[in-house]
Amino acid sequence: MASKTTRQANRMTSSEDIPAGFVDGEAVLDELLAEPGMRKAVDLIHEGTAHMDRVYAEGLAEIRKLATQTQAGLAERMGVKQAAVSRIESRDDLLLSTLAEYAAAAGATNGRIVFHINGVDVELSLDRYQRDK
Amino acid sequence: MRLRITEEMLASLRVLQAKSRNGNAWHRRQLELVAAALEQLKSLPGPPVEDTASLRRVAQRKRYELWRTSHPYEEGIAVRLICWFSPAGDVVVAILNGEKSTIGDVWYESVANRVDPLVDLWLQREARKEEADGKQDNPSGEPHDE
Repeated sequence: MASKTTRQANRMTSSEDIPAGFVDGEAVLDELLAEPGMRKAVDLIHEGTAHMDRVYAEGLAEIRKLATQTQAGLAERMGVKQAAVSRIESRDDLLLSTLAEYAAAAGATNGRIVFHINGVDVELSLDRYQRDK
Repeated sequence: MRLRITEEMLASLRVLQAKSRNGNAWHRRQLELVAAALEQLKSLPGPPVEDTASLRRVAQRKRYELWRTSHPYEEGIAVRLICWFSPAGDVVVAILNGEKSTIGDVWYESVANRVDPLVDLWLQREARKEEADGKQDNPSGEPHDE
């Protein structure tokens, strides 16, 4: 006797078993990708999307890379050791003052934290969190 | 993931496809972005566990966890697909918005009201099929030993 899992797997391999009101998206996608020039255009979009996701994931390190600085170089500007920069970049949590100083050392300007509330963007400048040197 | 789309989404896609085939470059680009998003969803190894730049939870969700696709910035063009991940391994793409001017708080606030009933529909029909499969396996309706 077929188990519930087996029945489900068998059912899902057949497009006729897709619930009414829904269609097989894979067939639709295949049709779209078969249009002239579509495959190449989609591949380029994927490249852009992958880059966007990397930037999102890399966070602070991406700021430094955009500034074409090494960890050692940025550390010197911050007045700390390279290992400290490495730790800052891998941290899940850090002080706003550290973030402000890191960004400033990378040469980033106009750092802001933006909150969206009731349809309005409220911006806080990161400059206010920089410690006095 | 198994890619499924709603009939509503399919209808929007067909309109876009027709406009694109009529030579409209703007609609063609929208169609390319839709195709890329669909392929991205299909290629996921499983339901997402954290937000990325290109796939994020809809903050304005209500009863179900909904996700929205995004793509690199393009002047004047924004395409968003709203989807839900079923427990059985389907990504169900519910609606599409390709009009940048209408993608904002008001639209996102409306998303759950439109998509939650579609998820209900999916779940109801899945449950009905489960029930039908059960009857087929055991036509007498007698309990059986597992």
